[in-house]
Amino acid sequence: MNTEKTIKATIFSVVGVTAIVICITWAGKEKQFNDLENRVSAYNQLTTLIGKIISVSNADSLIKWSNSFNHDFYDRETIPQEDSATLLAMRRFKFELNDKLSGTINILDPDRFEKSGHDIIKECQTQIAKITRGSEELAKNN
Amino acid sequence: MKIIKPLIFVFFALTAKSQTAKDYIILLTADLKQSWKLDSITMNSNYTELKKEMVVLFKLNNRAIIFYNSIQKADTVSWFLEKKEKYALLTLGEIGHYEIDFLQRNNVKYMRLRNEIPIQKNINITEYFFIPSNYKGQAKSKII
Repeated sequence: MNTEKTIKATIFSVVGVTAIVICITWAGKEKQFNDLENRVSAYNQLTTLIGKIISVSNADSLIKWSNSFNHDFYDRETIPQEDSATLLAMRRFKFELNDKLSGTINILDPDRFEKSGHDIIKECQTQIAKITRGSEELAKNN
Repeated sequence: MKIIKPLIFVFFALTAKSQTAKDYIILLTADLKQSWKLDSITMNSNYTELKKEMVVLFKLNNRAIIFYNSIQKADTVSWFLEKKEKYALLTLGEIGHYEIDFLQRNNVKYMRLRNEIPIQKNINITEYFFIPSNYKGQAKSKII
């Protein structure tokens, strides 16, 4: 009788522990998916903003979008530290943006501002492609 | 269409205006008709590698003569200009490496040297602004 009870308790315990492990794993994967989604969203937002900044012709709009770049991306941890390519592109763009805002013209490279913006967009697209591949592999493993 | 697209890309790549080291060297040396005077330095730093008011004459033999405040003193250093993908880099003897740009603002042309831009945001970049100068110096220069 005691043996039967012990077996039942063991089975319940194993089933319970298995269910808990499944729940924790599922929640972890879900969080990973959400993190990846947030990162893709950040890169998409940055791409859109840079596109606006480098194509705007109105000075007021340029100032508005530049402030947005400084506050939402440049001075934030939106782009992860390990993504050094995008961070460096943003750093270079920030200097070109300062020149643009002060009305400075680069004599030998007048399109440097636009080019540095395109560099950010290119790096963002590379990162989005990497994340998308990562999330597909994550989905396969699930 | 698959063939045309790469051809169009190649055409634009070949015809696009790209700056070469030669373009920078032409402006830097200015046919020896002009030297560059350090007019201003960004940042409130007590120590800077280049000193305000110094005048640099870049010669075509890759030697630069640096004249200081006192016309009695001048140094000669080697210079080398390298065009990188995104910027041009000027090496000034043992003094350092600087990103170099020729700029124009309010109809004033000037040359800017600055430390290479790193990823870290908290590292300050010193920028040196040079204006054209007619000074060619008479002081005997010392090779350093």
